[in-house]
Amino acid sequence: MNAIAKKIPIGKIAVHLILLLGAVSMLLPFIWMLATSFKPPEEVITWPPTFIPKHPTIENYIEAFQAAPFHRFFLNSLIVSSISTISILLTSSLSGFIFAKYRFRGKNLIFLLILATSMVPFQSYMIPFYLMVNRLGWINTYQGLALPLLVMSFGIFFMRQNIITIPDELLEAARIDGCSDLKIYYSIILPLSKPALAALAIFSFKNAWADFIWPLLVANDINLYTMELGLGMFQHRFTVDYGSITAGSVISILPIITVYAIFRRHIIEGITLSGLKG
Amino acid sequence: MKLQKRICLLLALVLVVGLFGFKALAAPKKIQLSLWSGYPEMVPFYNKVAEDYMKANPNVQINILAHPLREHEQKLSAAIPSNTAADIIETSPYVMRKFIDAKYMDPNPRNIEQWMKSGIYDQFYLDEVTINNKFYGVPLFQGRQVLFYNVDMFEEAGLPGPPTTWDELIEYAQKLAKYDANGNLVRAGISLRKSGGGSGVCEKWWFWLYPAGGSIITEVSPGKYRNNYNNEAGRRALQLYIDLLYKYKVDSHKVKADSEGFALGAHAMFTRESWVVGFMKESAPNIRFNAAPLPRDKRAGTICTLVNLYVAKNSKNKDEAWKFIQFMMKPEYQQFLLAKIGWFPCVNADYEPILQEIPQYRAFMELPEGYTLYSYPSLACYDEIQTKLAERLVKAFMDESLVDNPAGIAKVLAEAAAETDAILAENGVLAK
Amino acid sequence: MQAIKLRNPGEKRYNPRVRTLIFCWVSLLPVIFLFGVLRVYPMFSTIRLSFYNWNLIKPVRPFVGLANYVGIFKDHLFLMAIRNTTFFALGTVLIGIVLSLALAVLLNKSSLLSSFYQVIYFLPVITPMVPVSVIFKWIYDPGYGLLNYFLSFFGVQPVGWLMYPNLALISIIVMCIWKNLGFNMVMLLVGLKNISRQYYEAAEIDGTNKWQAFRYITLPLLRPILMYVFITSTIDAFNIFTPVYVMTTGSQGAPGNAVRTLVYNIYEDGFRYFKMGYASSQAVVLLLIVLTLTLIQLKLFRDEDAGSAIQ
Repeated sequence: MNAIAKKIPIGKIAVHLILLLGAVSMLLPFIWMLATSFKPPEEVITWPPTFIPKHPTIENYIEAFQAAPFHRFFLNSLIVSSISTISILLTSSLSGFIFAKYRFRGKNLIFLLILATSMVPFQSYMIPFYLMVNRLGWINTYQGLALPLLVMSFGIFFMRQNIITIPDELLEAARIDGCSDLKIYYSIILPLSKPALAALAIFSFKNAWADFIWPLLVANDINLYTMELGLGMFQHRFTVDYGSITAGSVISILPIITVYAIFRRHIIEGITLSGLKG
Repeated sequence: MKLQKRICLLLALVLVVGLFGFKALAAPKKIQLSLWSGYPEMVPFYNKVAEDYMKANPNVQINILAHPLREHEQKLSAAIPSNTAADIIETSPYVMRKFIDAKYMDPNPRNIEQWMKSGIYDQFYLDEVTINNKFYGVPLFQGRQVLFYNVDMFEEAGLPGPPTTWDELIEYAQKLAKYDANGNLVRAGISLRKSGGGSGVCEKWWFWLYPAGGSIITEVSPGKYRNNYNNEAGRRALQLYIDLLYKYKVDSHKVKADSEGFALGAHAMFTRESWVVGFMKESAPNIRFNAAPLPRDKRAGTICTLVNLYVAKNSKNKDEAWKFIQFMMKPEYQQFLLAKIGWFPCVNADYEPILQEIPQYRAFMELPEGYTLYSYPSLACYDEIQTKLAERLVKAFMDESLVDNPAGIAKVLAEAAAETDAILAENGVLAK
Repeated sequence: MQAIKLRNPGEKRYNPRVRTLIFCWVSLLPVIFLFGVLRVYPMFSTIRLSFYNWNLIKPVRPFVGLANYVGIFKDHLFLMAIRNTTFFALGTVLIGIVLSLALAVLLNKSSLLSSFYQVIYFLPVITPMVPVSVIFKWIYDPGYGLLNYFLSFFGVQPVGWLMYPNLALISIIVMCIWKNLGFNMVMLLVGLKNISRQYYEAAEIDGTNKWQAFRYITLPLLRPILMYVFITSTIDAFNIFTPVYVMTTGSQGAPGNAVRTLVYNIYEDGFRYFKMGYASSQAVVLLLIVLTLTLIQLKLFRDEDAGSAIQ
């Protein structure tokens, strides 16, 4: 590989140019959002647009925090997303292990059934679900908010695809040493799938964080509002006040980016370090 | 491994606590009253009234929840049939109609009916809330459509005042429109509602259809309806849009529309409700503007949509809820509503000082001679009719080939009308 | 096999096969229970509803057999929604995966700034839809949008991106590709990193060129991850809703019909017009379409490596 790269450095430069161009187009909306959130109202609508605020102000952030209890929304989203993430990590890793490494009658049927549940959009069974939550008396509660987010068929699928790559010899050796299945799960499978678990944690956390329609139906109290719901409401009170809207958006994205920053290292570096090669 | 076990244990604990521990979070000792609104801009008003009410009644706790209209209606459709709605629901009679028909709502209690009849409301409003000789809900505010115009732009173009007829409208719009060197429209003479999902496009078109002599549907015999736009009036109203867009080129899909465009000076005229006054004060205080009645054609009039307050069947504190609603109708709060929020109250009170302060409001209240008020038909399937017609209109407004093409316009309307009648038939309310 | 022979002498009483079976079922049971309650039960309610004239707010809900199904296939809005959704899925899945595969290959080679790029490309994935839509609506704005501003440097006249039927759908496709590119890219990158260098070194000795190496080594070895990416992208694409919902709001939003996708149509019939039965039958059709596609993809990628270690 290195030899090739040395021969044609132009190719390498081109690659970086392409990657850089892509990165810029990925970042541009964020930069604009961030820039706008620090602009005073007059500057927001000036034409042509500016990327660096001429008169930066934190007024928009103050206004956003005054207009909506973002700290409360943050706490609620954190609670709901954490419950969802923990439940998904537990259920997905255990059943992913079983679907990847065991063979028994009915396994494939159950797996397909679970996979099939991800093919129906939530909107189409939201009403039966709502009626069920209502019967449980969980409307306007945290458990009601988190309930549909407790499992994720993609998570099971994802863990299965990852655990498949763990060499069978490793598990067999453990068996010979007298390990029980449960012990294999937590002393071999779990440590070896740390990167996958970290990735799954980010996906499930983000999924729960981004949920909009369900909290809209279930939360009847502003103290139970999640970040997304709060932002959606906030957005409509400031129809053209893009400064405040973008400030609210930045506030709502920051926590999730922080979580990502914490786990990011695990996603890719982790997987190469863990030594599970195909 | 110990660490892992501990983490697992911790996770499981959080899960259990999360599922069952938070039920105790809200300890309802006071009488809880909740109110759901579909107009986020109303929140300051509700907060003010609720604050005063809670001061006078310390045992009551009032929670206000406001969502944009589309989300609000979605919440209602899930909550009302399953008896989980708020104590007080704010919505329009035509939205509530389907729930009333399905017996999910009770009529107002006798004492409230008598209170409403005591002279605080004009007869028009009482008629609007009457279904089978019973009152449902209490009118709070109303949306009347008027023409907003940018005074500076009008003066610049040498125009004396707002257009009063369609001919004047077309003439003025041409004088107000501005183009760049390439001939692109940069400032619209008038901004029409041309795009977006939902029923809004159809509703706004209706305001032009009505003066031309038509309407979306009419009641032919009691409880039986038929489309009323597959006719000369409908063709005239559609042609007006097409002409303004493509013949006179005084509006375009590319110019910022609606209240945002008005605030940014992207167009000179548009139609909206009274809240625009408050909106402009907030977001574009430098723009001088005024409001006028919608231009007349064969006839003249404007819509009057009510927004009412209802007490839900499942409310545990109905009496308290009605008391709060009555409290809200006090003149001081209604004056606040007009002055600070910009929605027009329904209750009779002295609004003259506010009208003097904010002259734009006069166009809403002081109707010219022969000007009628019309309202939404109280029909459960009306939203579907409007939404589906809106989609067809959106497509037609894109179609430049409809310029000077009466046959094309007639075809669009005939196809749409067939769909409208089919929806009426499906719901058993089509007039034979 | 070996485990039976070499079983621990202290655990004679149970056949390890039975113990393993018990382990499987005992651990799967809570998962199955959760799925049963949270997914399968409400889904079966939906399937049941599809045979009724089930109006959310009408107390009388007669059984109508297949009438809803007959109805939807005569409904031009539903057919339009199928067309749009298919177009949308083709666009996002094919373009999205080709782009992300290309990016993953490029990133796999450049080690220097690789993790820097990964962070950036992944950013849109973790950003929730509401703020993304806020900013994209502004980017696409015909008068004040960033996109038209950039295009104006090249002499392009302002375009109403969201308002013209074909453009509106393409604009949403672009937004969705932008949002999901990083996800697929990271997945594929993980797959690429797992492919041992030895394969390529051996191939280099054999004198294969880069394209051949990609075609005969990378692609086949990437199969499990590629399958995952294809299936999840397809399912996601067919279930597209939130972007459509948010991009149609407002007076300069996209027209509903131009971007009418299946779930948007289901949502409108079910929640705006309250025709839950009718909407449910569309959901069932959607399920059948996606299920068929998934089975085809599973077959295409022939996933044979599953379940061989412990019996």
